Amino acid sequence: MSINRTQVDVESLVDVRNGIQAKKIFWDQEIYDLEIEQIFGKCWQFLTHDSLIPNPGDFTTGFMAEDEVFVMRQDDGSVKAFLNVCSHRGARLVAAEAGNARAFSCPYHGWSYSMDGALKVVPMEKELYRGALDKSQFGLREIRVESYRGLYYGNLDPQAPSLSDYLGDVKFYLDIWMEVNGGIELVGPPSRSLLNCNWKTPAENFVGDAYHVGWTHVASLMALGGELSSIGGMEAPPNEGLGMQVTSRFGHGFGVLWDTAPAVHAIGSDAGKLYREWFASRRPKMVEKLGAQVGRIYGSHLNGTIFPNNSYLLGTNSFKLWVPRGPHQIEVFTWTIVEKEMPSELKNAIVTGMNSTFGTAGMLESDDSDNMESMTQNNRGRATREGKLNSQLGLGFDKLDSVFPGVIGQSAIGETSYRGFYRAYKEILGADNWQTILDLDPDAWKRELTGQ
Amino acid sequence: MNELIPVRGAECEEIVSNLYREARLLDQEEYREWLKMVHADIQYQAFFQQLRYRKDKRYKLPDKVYTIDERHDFLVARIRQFETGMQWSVDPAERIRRFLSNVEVFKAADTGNYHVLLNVFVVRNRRVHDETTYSYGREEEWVRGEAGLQLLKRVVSLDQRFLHGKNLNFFL
Ligand code: FES
Ligand SMILES: [Fe+2]
Repeated sequence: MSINRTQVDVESLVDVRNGIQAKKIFWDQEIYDLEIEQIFGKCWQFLTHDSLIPNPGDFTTGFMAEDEVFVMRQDDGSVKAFLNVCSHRGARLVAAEAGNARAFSCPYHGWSYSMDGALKVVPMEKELYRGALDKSQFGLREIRVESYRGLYYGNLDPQAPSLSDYLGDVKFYLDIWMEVNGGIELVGPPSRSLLNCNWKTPAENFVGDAYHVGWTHVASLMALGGELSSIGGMEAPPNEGLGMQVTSRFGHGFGVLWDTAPAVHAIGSDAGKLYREWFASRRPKMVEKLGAQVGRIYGSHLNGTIFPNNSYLLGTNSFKLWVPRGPHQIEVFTWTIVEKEMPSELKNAIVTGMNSTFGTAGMLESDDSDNMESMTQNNRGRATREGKLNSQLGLGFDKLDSVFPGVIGQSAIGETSYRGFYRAYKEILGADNWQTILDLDPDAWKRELTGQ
Repeated sequence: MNELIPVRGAECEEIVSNLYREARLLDQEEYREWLKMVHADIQYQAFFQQLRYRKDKRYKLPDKVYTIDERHDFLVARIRQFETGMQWSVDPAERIRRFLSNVEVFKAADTGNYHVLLNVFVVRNRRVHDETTYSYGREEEWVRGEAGLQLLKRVVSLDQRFLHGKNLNFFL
């Protein structure tokens, strides 16, 4: 039994039916500690992609919340992940961010581990330990790993549902962009940058905020031109036909803007030209395979988050991990998503275009950072953090659909996915283990969100 | 191989004061004036570099992340965002000062273009409490034409692997 659970009244943090959250979720240390234990301790977190570790011995390092990890391709082609921490006195084992190795030696006393995490060599073992060290007990801490369409995720909880079950309803949509189209690659290395914000502020923004696009990004959209420039400054009233929102049981969600996939790639740029041609030629094939309604997802712009902290923009092709560093700071990792079947000229153009818009020097990425930070830092004020956050946009209009799985918000601009994100947040934050979550009525979450 | 000849004296001074002028125009947000110093065929790049073990030659993927790889049209788009008057993130204005040092000037034997190496230190103040600093190297090529000296290529090598200044949404 943890001390945290007695200090945090989880029930009071999120009011699902009314679309309200407590502001202190962006600030309080006790809430953050509980998140680390209950959310990051139980949920699948992004590690790496096939394309970044193609060969045996290839590795990348990264984070699962504040735990440092590394991921390594084994000789049999499988992928293993470990805490990046030596079993002796706990020094960091791997200092490089990526590479290829057969073994790792700790820089402190030289304990060496093989690719599968086993402790193999201890300097002067015979002379110093005189047979008293049981090396089999001091391998690296291995982390459960599963993959979805080449994306590897790690989980610290052996009881967690499979990655596939965890993704649930959103797989239907992600498959369109990550499988039916011939698959994806992630282009690295990632950019890495700091934001002084709570990890949930960008996660919720990406999960379903089309509302801010025409306002926060007005200057960028006007400067770039393209399909979205019309919503810059919110001159055109959002209509039902512009897009939709989707949320799912474990909080993953996204927003769709129909037919605007390459929208932020400036029309005159290489990426803009080539990418528009690409969709014009590829979408008819997707429509043929999937039907007009579902096939339309491909070639539309999707902004989404895989709960808790992995976001993506399909169309803009940005792939993000928001790694928490305490309640008020994150490290942002940014990769580019490309389709395997794209010609390399287009892949390169998309990498460039993604960086110009959503990289560390990206015009649109920079627009957002002030908001993320002030939403967090304002809660330094006691009166402020006693307040509430509103995510009621579209509340009462969320529905189930016969074609599209998940709970659906019918307009482009709304906060359906916010509500789904925080519904899951509360459920997972408050549950001692996965079993208690999985024992719940599997449709109850839909009723909660649709108000039925 | 293109021979690079060190440039000294008045010619070197001219290049250095040209760099100072460019930095001043940017500090003062005189973007259209600055644009006149930028060649139509500009290549404007900035990269981070992934940390790798020195001896590891077996990992085949690239180490550089080009967080900026832009041409003239995109630089103009960046200027246009400020000209809309609706770029909330720089309203109130941020204050940026660029410090240039360790300048070395060379002249290419074949083209006559100037190749310049320098270090840059930037202090950026925004909002009330937000001061961030940046230190990076630049390698660049200036060409002399009818419009005077113009920047043809700039490659910025960012030393930080983990960017503390939250973004690079300014001209480097
Ligand atoms: S801490 Fe790693 S060998 Fe001692
Ligand atoms: Fe945004």
